[in-house]
Amino acid sequence: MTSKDVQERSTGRGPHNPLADAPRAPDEQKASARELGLFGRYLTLWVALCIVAGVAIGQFLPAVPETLARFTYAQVSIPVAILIWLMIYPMMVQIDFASIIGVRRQPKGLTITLVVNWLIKPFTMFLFAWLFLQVLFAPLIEAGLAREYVAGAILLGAAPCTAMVFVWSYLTRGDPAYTLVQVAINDLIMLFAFAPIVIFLLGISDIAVPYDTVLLSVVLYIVIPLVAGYLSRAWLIRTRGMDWFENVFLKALGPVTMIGLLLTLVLLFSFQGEVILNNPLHILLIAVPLIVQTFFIFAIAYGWAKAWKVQHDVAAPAALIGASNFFELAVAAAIVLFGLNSGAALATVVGVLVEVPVMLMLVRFANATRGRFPPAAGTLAAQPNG
Amino acid sequence: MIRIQPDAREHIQRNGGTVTLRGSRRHGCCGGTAFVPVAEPGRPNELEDYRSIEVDGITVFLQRDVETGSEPLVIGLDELWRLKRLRVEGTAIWM
Repeated sequence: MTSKDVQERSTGRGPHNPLADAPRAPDEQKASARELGLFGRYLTLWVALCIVAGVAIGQFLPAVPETLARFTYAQVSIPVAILIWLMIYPMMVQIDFASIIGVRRQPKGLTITLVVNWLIKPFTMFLFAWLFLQVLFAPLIEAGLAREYVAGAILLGAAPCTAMVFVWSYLTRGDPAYTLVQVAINDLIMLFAFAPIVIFLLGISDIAVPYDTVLLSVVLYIVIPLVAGYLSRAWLIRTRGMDWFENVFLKALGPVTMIGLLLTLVLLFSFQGEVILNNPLHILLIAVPLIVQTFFIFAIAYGWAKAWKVQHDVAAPAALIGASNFFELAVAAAIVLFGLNSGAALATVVGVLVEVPVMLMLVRFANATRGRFPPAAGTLAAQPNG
Repeated sequence: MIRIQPDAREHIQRNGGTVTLRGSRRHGCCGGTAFVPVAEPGRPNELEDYRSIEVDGITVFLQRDVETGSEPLVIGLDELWRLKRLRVEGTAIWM
């Protein structure tokens, strides 16, 4: 494109020549915690406060969790189900399944993300959790509780990040078209792979869960929000238009996930008081394998991308999606499978606790190593020729 | 700067000769919002939120408040069987 190819035509706010503005590279300094906003930047603090608030409610206002626990249907806690849908639906409604049409564009990146997310990540998560919680920390954690923590870690490892990866990709200047495709494909696979992986890994951990309970958690917290998200997205875009959907509906829905997450944590910890008060060190112990796994999975995917000479704007999101977990789903599945007061539910919450600080470290590492990867193909092909 | 690849240009021309390029909102579950650049054939409903430019005979409605990166935004075409969809390559849009 040459400058004479471009003619500015005002559409109401006065003339503007895009070429007159020297295109500014996104400020590298912006790729930091600031971009996450107040909630994301201090997520660890909010989670810690929810733990304290939940434990306090459980200890001093036990009538609250006892009353909420009565509202169940088919062994599913209705308040918990509502809060979890509040967390998960806003993520599912953002998934653009039509982007799968671009599946053939970045085959190396997709191969890396699919192999790492579905053939490596769940198994290394199990391995690290077992090694640390049931072997190395065995003198510090009672065996039954350690097994429950491993179960929570398995649930965390069985599903890749769905929403936050867009922000991680944005912060590393990732290819947005590729990020859309990898999220849509991973979510489709999750629909079918989550239950078999969880059943298999819980089975070899000697943790028996009924198949129908696992399937119930998949239907409740993957299938229903996914179908509801897909149908409501299509209906709202058709009836109200894309502009209204994204700038009014999604904008309003943005904080709902966070509110749902924090309320779920308060409720969960109102049942967890005894576990936390009796074993305060356990939160730190559970965090160890989760952090090791995050770095390990990132290293595998990022190193593989480097070895395959994948461009950086694909390598970074391909590595970050696996490193980050779909912890809302893990929390939901842990509650359905093991209960609100289980060690498994506690382990999934520790995943939330460490998520943002660890991922921000990886974002900074990815930005610092951009120069070691081939540049984006578009960068070379799209030099102005005028 | 915006560039349109030949197959995308042909697709846009078959669909009216105009294309809308905007940032699609994505909320992270832990906070933060990302804008994914997307291109769709046709004109936007809210014209006052866009400026239009001519690129190789195609009218591109580009969302205002868009900062392109140091590299151009490239509109390409993805095809899978008979399905076609425009994609945007290039640095993410900062709003």
